Amino acid sequence: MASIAMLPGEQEEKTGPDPGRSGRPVNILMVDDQPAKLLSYEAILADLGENLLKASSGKEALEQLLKHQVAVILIDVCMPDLDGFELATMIRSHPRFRKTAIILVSGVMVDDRDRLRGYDSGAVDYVSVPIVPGILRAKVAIFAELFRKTEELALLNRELERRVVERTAEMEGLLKSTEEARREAEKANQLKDEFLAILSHELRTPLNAITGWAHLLSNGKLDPATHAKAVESINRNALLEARLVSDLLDVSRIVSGRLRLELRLADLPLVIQAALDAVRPAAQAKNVQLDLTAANDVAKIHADPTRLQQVISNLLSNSVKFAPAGGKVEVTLERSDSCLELTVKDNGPGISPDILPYIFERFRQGDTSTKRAHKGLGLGLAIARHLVEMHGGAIEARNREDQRGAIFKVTLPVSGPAVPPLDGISSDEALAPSSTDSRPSAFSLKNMRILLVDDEADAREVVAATLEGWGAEVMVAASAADARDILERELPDLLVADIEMPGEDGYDLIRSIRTLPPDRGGRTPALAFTAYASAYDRTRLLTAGFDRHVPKPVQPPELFFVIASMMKPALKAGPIDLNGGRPVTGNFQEETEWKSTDGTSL
Amino acid sequence: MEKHGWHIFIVDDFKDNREMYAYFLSEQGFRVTEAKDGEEALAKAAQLQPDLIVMDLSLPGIDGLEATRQLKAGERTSHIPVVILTAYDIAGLAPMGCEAFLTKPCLPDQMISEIHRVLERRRTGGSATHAEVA
Repeated sequence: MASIAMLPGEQEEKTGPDPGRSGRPVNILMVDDQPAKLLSYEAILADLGENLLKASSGKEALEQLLKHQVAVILIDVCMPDLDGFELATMIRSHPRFRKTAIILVSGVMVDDRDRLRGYDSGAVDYVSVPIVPGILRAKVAIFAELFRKTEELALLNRELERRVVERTAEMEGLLKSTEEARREAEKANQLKDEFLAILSHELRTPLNAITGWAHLLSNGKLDPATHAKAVESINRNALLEARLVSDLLDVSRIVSGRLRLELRLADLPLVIQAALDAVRPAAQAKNVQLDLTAANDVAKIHADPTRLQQVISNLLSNSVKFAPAGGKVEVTLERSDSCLELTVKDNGPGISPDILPYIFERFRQGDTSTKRAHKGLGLGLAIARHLVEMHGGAIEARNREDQRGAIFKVTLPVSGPAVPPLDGISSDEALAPSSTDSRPSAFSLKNMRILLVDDEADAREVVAATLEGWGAEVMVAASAADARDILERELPDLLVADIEMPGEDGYDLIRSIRTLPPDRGGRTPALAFTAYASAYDRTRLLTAGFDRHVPKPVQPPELFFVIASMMKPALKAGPIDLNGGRPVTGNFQEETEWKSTDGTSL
Repeated sequence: MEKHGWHIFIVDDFKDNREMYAYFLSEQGFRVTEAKDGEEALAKAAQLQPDLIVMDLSLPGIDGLEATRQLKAGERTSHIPVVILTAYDIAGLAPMGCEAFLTKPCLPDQMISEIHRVLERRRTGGSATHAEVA
């Protein structure tokens, strides 16, 4: 019904899309029952550069609306079936289109009543016929721009909300981790205080017997029997004191990384015998029976025999301590694949579930109250764990299934003596393969991917060759920046880093790595390799983000054991094979003079 | 040293210390009874009515603190003076009803003079309840 009037001077100028327009084109829906008029609208609005959609009926218009997001709807008031007002009312009643701009085109005389009807139904504007193209175009352009701006604002708003949520989560996470760190520090501090209280108690108790008896001795009035008793008591308590001090020093060495192993071929059964001999007096005093069962195929292993004896003694004295008077402590040594398993069982009360998870931690004892039924600093098991791990082994504690006693199990790799001596790394003579020895090396890091960073080419090559000798796949980097690139790209199992490097040093490297997310290598286990080996350096290294520290020069076995102990969780789950899966052949048995019988009672 | 015949209890789970004090106190004319834990101390104290108890704190089972509390609450034992002897730092333990504190290492002479001090105060204070002064 409506007709288009072209006023003089309204001749269309082809100006292209409105240069003042911002953003992407929006959809304009034109609704008219007459195709010719739809064409005219199209001609008028073409220059706006928006997307023009056409509908020839109210029904079609609704369909289009559901399919597209529409910025402006142009509706002819006079249409058969559904007229423009009815259509506008229907559109407005839908929540999605409540704010969509509608321009009504009216071909009849527009009086106030019509106008009112239009606004009632929610139309925002009104164009009368004959249409002035410039006015229609201007109105549509303004609504389109309004739509666009509203959209942009909504988008910005959503983005802002997202960022607020993100930042809030970040802050909450930060707050939580700070709180956790604070709690951990407090807990550590409390454990240390408790430990110091116990330490003072444990040091003063034997000291009391020593000073007391010494005082009585110096008075010189003791009868011969009491005199002998006094001397014996002083000796016993002085030894007890000496052992406490030596445990403390061991812990101090462990904490500062100065505890070193002296590896040689050790006869494990002999080591066990020595440990049994050491605890026998204590066992006899309580009438506790000591039983040893050793399998026939147990081997000599590469280990520090003194330290292994300390491990076994600590486990044995712990078990003797907890075994009831007249009880029993059983020691079993057996071969399991490429490992040796040493088990110490007692028939005491077992380990309380509260303590079990912490039993190998320093400064933890079953009970820190004055009710403590068992003496000692509680360092023995912590020291045992460290020593076993330095040997590349593992230690675990559990209760017997019948809940009648505790079981401690030490697993040690059966390590052959074939560690290649290497220039640049001090080699241990005892580890050099003998000429007749054709056994394969048990030192294996097969399937492990290691990233090695060192600015000095010679040092780098030596360490790389050592690691490759153990079967590891080694990637090398000469600078921190190279290392970071390789790390993010290759995600190695382990980072071995030199600390002293020009420019960005090992500290800078590890700090930057630790800021990376886990999937980009941020949690890669890291080993620092440095000539600076003081307690201060070590603390700094560990604080910066390294997991372990090996001072230069290092003996290859020590490097191996440290790496092996770092990879232990991976070992359980993954394919890394520390022993190369190769059973060590029977030469060991022929060499050992150990005569073992099942159920040997000692 | 005069033969006064005072009866002293030594409660300590550490045999070397217990024997050392027991020996010296006997030498000095005391009658001595040893107990190696709190249970034994409580049972014997009610029965034997010692003049004074030297109590170690770190004991298996009923510890020295709990044993002292029970002694002081017991009808038949509340009058017996208790001297705490411990290797712990006892700064925070004062209000627990005992008569004196000693810290290990404690020489036997120190212990004797503390025992005398407590028993003398008890006698001159008028409220002394120990009976068998020879």
